[in-house]
Amino acid sequence: MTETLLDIVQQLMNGIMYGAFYALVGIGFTLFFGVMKKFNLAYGSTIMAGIYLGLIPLNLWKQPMWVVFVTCVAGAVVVGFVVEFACFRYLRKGHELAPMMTTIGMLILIEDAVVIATHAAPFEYPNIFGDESFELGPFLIRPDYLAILIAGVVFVVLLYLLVNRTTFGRAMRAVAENPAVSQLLGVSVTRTNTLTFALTSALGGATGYLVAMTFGALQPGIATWMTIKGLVVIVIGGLGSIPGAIFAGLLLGVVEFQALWFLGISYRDIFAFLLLFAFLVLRPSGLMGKAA
Amino acid sequence: MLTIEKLSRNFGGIRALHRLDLEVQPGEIFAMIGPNGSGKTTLFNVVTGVFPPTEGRLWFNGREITRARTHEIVRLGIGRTFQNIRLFTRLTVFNNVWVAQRAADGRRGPRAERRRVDELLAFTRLGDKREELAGNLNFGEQRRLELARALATEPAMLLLDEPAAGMNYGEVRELIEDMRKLRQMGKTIFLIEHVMDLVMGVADRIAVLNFGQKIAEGSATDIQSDPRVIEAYLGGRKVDARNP
Amino acid sequence: MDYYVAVLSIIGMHILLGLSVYVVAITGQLSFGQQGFYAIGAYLAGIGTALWGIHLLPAVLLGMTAAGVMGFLVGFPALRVKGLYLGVATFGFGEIVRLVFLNVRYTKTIGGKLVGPNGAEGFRHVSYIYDRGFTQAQYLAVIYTAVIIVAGFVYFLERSKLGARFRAVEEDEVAAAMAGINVTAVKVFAFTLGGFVAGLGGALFVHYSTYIDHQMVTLPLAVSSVIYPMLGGLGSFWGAILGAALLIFLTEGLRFLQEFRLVVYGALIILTMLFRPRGIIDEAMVLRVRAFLRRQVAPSA
Repeated sequence: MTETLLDIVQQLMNGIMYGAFYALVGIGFTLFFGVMKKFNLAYGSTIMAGIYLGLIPLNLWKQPMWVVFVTCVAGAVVVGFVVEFACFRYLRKGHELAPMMTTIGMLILIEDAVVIATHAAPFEYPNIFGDESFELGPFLIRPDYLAILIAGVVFVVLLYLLVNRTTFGRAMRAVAENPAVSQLLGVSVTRTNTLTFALTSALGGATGYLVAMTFGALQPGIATWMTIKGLVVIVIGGLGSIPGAIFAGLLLGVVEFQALWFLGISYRDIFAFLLLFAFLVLRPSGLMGKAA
Repeated sequence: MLTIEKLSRNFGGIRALHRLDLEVQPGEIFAMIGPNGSGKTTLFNVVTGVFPPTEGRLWFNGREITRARTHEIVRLGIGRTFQNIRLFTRLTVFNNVWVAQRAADGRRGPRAERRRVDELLAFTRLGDKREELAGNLNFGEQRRLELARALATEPAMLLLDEPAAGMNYGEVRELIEDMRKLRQMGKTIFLIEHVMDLVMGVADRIAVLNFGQKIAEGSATDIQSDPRVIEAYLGGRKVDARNP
Repeated sequence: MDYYVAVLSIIGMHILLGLSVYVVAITGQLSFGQQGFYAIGAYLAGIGTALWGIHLLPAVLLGMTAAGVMGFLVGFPALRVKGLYLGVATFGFGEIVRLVFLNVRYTKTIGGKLVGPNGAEGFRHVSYIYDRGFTQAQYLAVIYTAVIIVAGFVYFLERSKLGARFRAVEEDEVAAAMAGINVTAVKVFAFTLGGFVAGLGGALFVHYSTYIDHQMVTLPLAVSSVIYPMLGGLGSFWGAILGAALLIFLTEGLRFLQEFRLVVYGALIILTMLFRPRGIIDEAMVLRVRAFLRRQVAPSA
């Protein structure tokens, strides 16, 4: 009995740490939707592209990991601009689902482009936090998971400060609330959107860098995987709500790890989707969302 | 015909409608006027089941419709047009009316229905635009199409939400004629309007709303001389150049 | 020759998938889960012929009906969500179906072989048509008979008042309700119909390929099935047919593009959405074609 309890708590801890990653992805989606009122389904591929671009300094130029980190972030920002340019800039108004479709197209395109560029060869990120779990009482803590959690907290705090304590943050909130009026008040909506895109992509790059280390082998398919996780998170957490995304990400992580431990890998995914369904049926606006 | 009893509708802290009592008699043209934001369109939305009331009850021809769903209310005999035109722009003019068309006076069958649609298009002078996309019509034509679509539901009572908005003088006169013809056909009309020429020209009775409450009701002359109505429209304060 | 028969067969079954997305999409519901109904149709029809020994037609009807009933059941919770949420929800449904089949084990040993859905190994030996000596070319006729029947049904639906009501619901649900349309009934009916059509596609597919497994009915199939009508056009059922045929010809026919297949897909989606958001055969084109045909019939009118 205590054995089971220990397992539950262990998986709870794993779930929360890994869930921080899901939360960060969900926050990215939320920022896109909250400020730009559009869905960016190519976000996962932006993150993945950042990760793969980081392989260039890593493998070709043998650079230290901090250079890889900067490349991930910068790479994601560049790819993010490509996505913005191709998928959003020239879209005609009035078709709400069009950005969804163009970004799906972009997701497919980028993922396949990376497959072609890498010839589907498996690459790896060295795990700078070490492979060995350390002991915390009766529990084992994976250092790379812990790093994700810590980084997640840092990013959220930085984001909070940015959104609430800076001029740019005010601009973001204004545009999120009412783009037309913001423009009348002198806020450049285009510039705010572009910078939000850049910011969110950068966040994605940083997130990608951390999670890449937890993978044994990278594959381009993680773009789709991240997209699905992110979507589940925003549906559960509620569209447009960052606290919702955080909570939902953690919840998803917890549910997944519990299901994984006690029921096995195929049930893990069923439970993730059942959780999604439960929310859609019982509370379509999510935990804290504004009605979509 | 339509009985509204102590109807309230709140949106969060805002009382859009407050304990409203109203009765529309069969065969009359009943107009509802009031400043913007006084709750007129909200009333239409509650009557047609778009929102449920927060408080109060509604009856139509003796049947309670307080919590009924929109399409059920329409099938009972209430038709409605929208203030901001809500046509099916990707459908043809004919199809816009056809989707609403029910069997009329016992004439059943697809061919009878299609003939009826053409009748309604002729009545609203849209016959030659039959195969046009509704989105391509001009403003006046779109307004008439909204009316044709509402008529296709074969309503006993029509709710018209600012049908004259944006119309020029000639179009308003046409509209007055149309409404008189509809009344002759036995339809009851419940009208929201700001264009006073129309209201004074056709309405049998008028009710005035302000802040979700009825502040006056009666004939055109009654309304025009009611001090509460004047205050609602013009405000009670004296306008002073030094204190705007 | 065999190769073309194979490509045309695949196109036929994908046309059914595309049509199943289409009939739901024209009520304003974009479903990324039709592959789930496809899977239900495939597995159940396969069980019918391979495990229960019933004939092809009843098995296909069984698969279709199970999928259609599922469509009906999905239609109700689907009412609560719209847009991307609905996309995620329906995709989630598709994934749940897939994951259920991943875990189902229902096998019998028949003629020395293990037949039946076997978890991750999939469902092999659905060899009904080949056992009876039919060729793929003959089965092609079966596939396209089904396609023609379904397309014909959708054709008549589109020209009917109900079909126009579908599109009214897509454009403005409140106005549609005000026109006396029971929006709930229309949307649930669309999902049910979509389920039947996708189920038919799956039931036909499993007998063509003799094999189905969970990996075949996940994200790539979800995305393809949605792209067919979105690219081909939402103005008419021909759009789904055009989309499926075009994309499969493009990727099968142009072999050198094989490697770049998804890049081409992705680029095509982006370009279509930018320049023609309602697809190639959009409502405006349908109207132009109808007006043109009317002039041909009565040139002096």
